[in-house]
Amino acid sequence: MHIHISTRDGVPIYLQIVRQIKHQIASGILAPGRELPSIRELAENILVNPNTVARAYRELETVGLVEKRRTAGTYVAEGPSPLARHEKVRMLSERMDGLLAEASQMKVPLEDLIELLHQRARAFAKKPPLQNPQDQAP
Amino acid sequence: MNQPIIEIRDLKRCFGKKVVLDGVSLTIPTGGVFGLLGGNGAGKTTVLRHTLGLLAAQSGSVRVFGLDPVADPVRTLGRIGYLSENRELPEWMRIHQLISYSQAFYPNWDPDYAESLRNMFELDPKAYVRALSRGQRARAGLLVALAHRPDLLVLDEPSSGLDPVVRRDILGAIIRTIADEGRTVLFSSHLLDEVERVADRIAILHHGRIQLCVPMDQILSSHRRVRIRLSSAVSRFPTEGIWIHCEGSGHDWSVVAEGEMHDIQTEVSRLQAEILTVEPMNLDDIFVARTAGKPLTAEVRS
Amino acid sequence: MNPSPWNVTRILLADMFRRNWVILIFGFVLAISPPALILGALKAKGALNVDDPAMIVIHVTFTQIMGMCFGVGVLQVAGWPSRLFLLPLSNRAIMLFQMVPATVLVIGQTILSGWILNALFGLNWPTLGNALAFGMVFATFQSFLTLFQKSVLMLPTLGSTLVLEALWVKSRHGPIFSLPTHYWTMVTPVECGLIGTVMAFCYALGMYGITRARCGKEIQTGLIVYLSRAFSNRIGRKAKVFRNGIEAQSWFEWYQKGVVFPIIVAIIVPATAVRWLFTDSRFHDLLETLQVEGWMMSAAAMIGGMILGNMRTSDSSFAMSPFLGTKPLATTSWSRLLLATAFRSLAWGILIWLTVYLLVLGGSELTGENLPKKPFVWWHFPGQILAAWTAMTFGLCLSLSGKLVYPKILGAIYFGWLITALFVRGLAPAWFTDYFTVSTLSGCGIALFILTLWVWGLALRRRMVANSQAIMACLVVASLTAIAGWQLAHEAIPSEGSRIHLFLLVSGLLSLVVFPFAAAPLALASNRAR
Repeated sequence: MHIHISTRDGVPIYLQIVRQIKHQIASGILAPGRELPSIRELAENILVNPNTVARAYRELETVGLVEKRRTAGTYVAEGPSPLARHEKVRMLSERMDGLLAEASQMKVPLEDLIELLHQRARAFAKKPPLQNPQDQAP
Repeated sequence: MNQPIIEIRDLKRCFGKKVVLDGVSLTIPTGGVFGLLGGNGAGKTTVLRHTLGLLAAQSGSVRVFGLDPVADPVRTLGRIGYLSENRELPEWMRIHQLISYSQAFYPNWDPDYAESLRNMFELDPKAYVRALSRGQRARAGLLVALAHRPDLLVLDEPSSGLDPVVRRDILGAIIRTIADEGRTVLFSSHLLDEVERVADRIAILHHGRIQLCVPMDQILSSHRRVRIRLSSAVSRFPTEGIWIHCEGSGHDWSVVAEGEMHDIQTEVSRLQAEILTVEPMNLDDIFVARTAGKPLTAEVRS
Repeated sequence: MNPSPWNVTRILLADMFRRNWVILIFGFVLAISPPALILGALKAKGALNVDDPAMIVIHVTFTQIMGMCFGVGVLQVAGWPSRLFLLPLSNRAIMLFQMVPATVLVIGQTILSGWILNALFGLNWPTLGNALAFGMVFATFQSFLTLFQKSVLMLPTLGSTLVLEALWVKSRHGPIFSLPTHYWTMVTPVECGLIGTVMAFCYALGMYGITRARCGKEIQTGLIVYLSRAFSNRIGRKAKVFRNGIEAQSWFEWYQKGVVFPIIVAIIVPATAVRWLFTDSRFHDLLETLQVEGWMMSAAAMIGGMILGNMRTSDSSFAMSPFLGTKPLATTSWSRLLLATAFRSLAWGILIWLTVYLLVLGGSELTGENLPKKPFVWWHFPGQILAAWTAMTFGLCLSLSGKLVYPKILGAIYFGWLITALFVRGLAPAWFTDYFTVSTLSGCGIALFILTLWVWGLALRRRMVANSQAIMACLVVASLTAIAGWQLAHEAIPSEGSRIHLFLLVSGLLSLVVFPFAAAPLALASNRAR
């Protein structure tokens, strides 16, 4: 499991972990039933405090994305995640909010923005897919 | 919470006429990583040296494991691992001599652990300390500080001047240390990236006083940078209450606020101003806001 | 300011003297004090005969001693040439900067101190020849330091060159292999020329050294380095296993610092025997020299003790290093351990000295040479041991305290007394001189006694020593003082009145025997937790 931590823009580390794992589950990189690394393993791997990792795992557990099993391990929850669709929408909305804010600051009207979006979508379809665009949410 | 591992009450220290610590009170709970932040010369090393019994309190008190480290060095220091800022080690020793010398002082010394650390750090047992590079010296110091599995690990600026690979080793050592239940790490640093990564709690030391002492996850959520526009121009923005730092002039100000969002809104409406943007802050910015400029007044301390 | 080499040199010189004038003055006074005290004592007794041939020996010996004392200070001030390598200076400027000030200082010191002694005691000591010779010696020193930096080759090459120069200077005072017979009054142009040539040669040698060292091509040391590496590899290879911290720390103290004193003795005492071979090879003289060295051992012991009490691991500050300070070892057991190491160090030193002494004694028995006519003095040997112990542990406590202020205070008291004494000797009437000497000596004894009492009181209050130890210490001091008093009552002393003052001084000094048992834990504690 690949997680990238940045301390540059003030997002708490546990939140970065939660978001990236959510994203990886939502995009299918982490399949249901797969075991997540242990708290200690992940902490040593990405060099953050184990308590922070534990907090992120707790958070994911309360929303039902992962489950602790009795054999002392954390697994991605089985079955279609009830939150997957909702989560995708939420994450995209967050990024779109940022886009809208910037557009309004640059005084670009909504119609132009939508037109631009269509243009980019056509250009995007011709290019090979981007790698991991999930790393940072604003 | 059980008994705190370190309890410092109203510690004052002067070197000559220079006041280095001006009434520091700090309680460090058992377990977890405590980061002590401060600029150069803020007094971090002085605080740490008091906890090791290398400095006797001029006024106030220092308790480590509930004991006075000056009066009882055997029972306190025997449970502490320490890596000093200058990573000074006896130059004339070889690595294996350094290990067997250090081993003698600690009944809990784990030879297997020491050996695995030595292998991991690629330290040649026959090498002289004086011939080690700065990074290797830091690793040797770390080995000696860790191998008796101390209850308290004290690191003074552990990664200043080191390359990223050695810094990883040090962060890894901190993480492994607290991953074992009940152990505590106290470290001072001005590299805020690593503080944010590993610390559970932090304290900011500035001008010999503790400016802030909070859990790590609170500090980011409680600080915001707010850009506001005042209805009437002012030459100085009042830094008091929730406002801890300001920049700007006239109508437009960029202020750092500590508190909940609704507190900020109340305060802004009291000033008859409007909020332009609210941004989260990273630890770097918070640190600068907390320590920039003149010493802050007592009211601002939390 | 214009950064021309000349300006840089000027700034460096000014800086050098601004930072080091204390060392220079200290070195000068320290150098001149032994001859001044001894000549003063001779003059006070009326035994100062300027025309005595023995005065030539005194002249040669003390000129050497003065030059060496001051020279150590000068070397300290001049420092290593490598510190100048990064400055915008030509090689020539660096070499001149290393050589010229040192040489000038040493020449000036020899002339000045000779002049002062001549004026104070009405001597007729010549100064120019010896001054120039010392200039030559220091130029040699500086050029070899520049050439060899910290290489092992320095010792044999510099040593043999210095021996050659010393023999030449000796030959100016009479035949090489006997006591000096006359002063070096006339300095001939040939001698000047020789000295000048040697200096020029030194300059060339130093230039060669700088040219190499400045671009990192230090002198290769070849065989010697190889041998010393092989030797030290052997020493450190065996893994030591310590049972506890005290054992480990004893090893640390002994291996790093305790061995210094025995090594000093092991170098100086055989060197005496070698030097004696070059004068008249009579066992009688050698035995007397060794006896004197037995007393001189105290000075070396003081230095050894100061080294032992130095708790730094690097040169960052005078205070105890955190590496040592954070060892979980009780302060009292640590100070006991240090005293034990001091004892061990002293025992080895004395053993070496005693072995040489007994060998020489055996040699004189074998050759059937007449031994000193003076009867054997029973208390010399224990006295020497006690003096060395006192000096070593006093030095230990001084540096163990980690505070520069104590040595400074002691130094100030000593120099204040010395300069006053010199003035009193030179100017005041005889009765006042007597009075001054006697009162200061007995005052010193009382002060030492009070100091010991105070330190023990402090240590008792802080529970660093037990009551039983205090009683033991009292008994030791009391019995030593009683023995000394008994001996003093039977000793022939010039004036009857000074007996009681001498007794006060001796009992003060004897109380210092137990001083470290209380002072060492106090000093260590104050150094550890500042």
